[in-house]
Amino acid sequence: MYEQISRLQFFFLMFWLVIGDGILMIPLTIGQFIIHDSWMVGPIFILGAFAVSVVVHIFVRVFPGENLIDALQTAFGLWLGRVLGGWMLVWMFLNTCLIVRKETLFVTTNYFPNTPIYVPIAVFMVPLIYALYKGVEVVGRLTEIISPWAIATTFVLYLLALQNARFSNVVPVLADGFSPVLKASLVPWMFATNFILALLMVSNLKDPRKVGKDVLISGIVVGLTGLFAELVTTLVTGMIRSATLFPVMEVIRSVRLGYFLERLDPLYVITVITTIFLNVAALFYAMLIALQSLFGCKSYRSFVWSGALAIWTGALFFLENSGMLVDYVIYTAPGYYFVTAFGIPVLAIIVQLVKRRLKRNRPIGRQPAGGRGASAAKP
Amino acid sequence: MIFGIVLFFAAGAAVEGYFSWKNKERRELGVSLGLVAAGVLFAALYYTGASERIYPLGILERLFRPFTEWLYDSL
Repeated sequence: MYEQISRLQFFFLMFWLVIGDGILMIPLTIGQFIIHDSWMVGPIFILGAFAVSVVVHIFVRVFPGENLIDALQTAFGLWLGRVLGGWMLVWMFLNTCLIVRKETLFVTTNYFPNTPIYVPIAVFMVPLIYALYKGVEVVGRLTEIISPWAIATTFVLYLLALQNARFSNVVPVLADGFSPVLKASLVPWMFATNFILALLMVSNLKDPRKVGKDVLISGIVVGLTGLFAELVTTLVTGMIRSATLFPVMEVIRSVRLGYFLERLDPLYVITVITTIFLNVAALFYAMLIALQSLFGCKSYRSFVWSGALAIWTGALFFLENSGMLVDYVIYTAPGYYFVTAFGIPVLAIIVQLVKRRLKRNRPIGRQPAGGRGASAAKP
Repeated sequence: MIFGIVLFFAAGAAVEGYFSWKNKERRELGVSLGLVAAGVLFAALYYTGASERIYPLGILERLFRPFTEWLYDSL
């Protein structure tokens, strides 16, 4: 029996799945393409989130009661389904490694420049193991408690930073046309494909048929948050944002009220680390569920520690330095994510619908042995 | 120090593995062993500096960079 999480908890998990890490990485990648019009990326992100939510909405209807990995075996058969499931699993693993590595980059760059990078990652993984060992229900409750505080803190910090805003930083509007805005939206769209991981949590929801709607609501809220965050970042930092690794950090550091309220960045750091914890918890949980489904295990709890070990060392091995990380995120990851996290589920839906149609048109008579594939035997 | 931390994680995995073995959960044990092996391999490659000499994500870059660049060009 899978643990159940409420719709609100699921909504917050999906929100942090993109924003938790996106608030570190997305402003940096947007700054490589545009400065003045960066706020437009937020609303455009919603288009990507809408596309993913449509896929999720159709997927749960075409494959009722099945998670992504089981559904791939139903659609493509046992072996091809397992190969594609393994491909998805590698993507989830690399995705989790990427987020963990970015969190470490943030911590080591700003606060522990002389600490070996493997120490903060290891420290970060231990509470994560504990939380996931307890189950996704505990992570969901944690999300429910932390989210209002984290959202309110970030919102207040952004509002305080507006004292340094310069309207000249956001004009002229669309001076270079709309093309740079679309190019800057590619990486945020890539992050939107993370919503597909909702398909691994369908067993944890009371009504999986509403999962597409919940993903869409999360996507809209993420888009509006991006609009606000990008607008304030550009208003405050202007041209400097393209030269800094963490533009939002510069925005928060600029907050100063008289002589009694300054250096509020620790508040921001606490919020970022907490929300990235939730982000990685959701990703890691999805990866463990994928492993469980792919290998037909009873429970994922038997390999939480070993999974954490693989992620910890994988983050070190695959993404050695920040230059490699940024280059991978901007020039390789979008194509990889679109093909894997968007293309494969869409293909599975098409194949299943075609199979159904062919089955419906088949003349009544002797039916072939086998049935629905690998998942037919599963409870 | 890195191998001290590896041992710490591996010890946790060994405890889990012990209970899997005790409960005759062969698949869980196999998955756990596979993940530990991958983790130790990555740690060894990182420790020996192999990740500096080779680009581990090079395969993905060869496969998907042209597509990503085409997306950028077409936008």
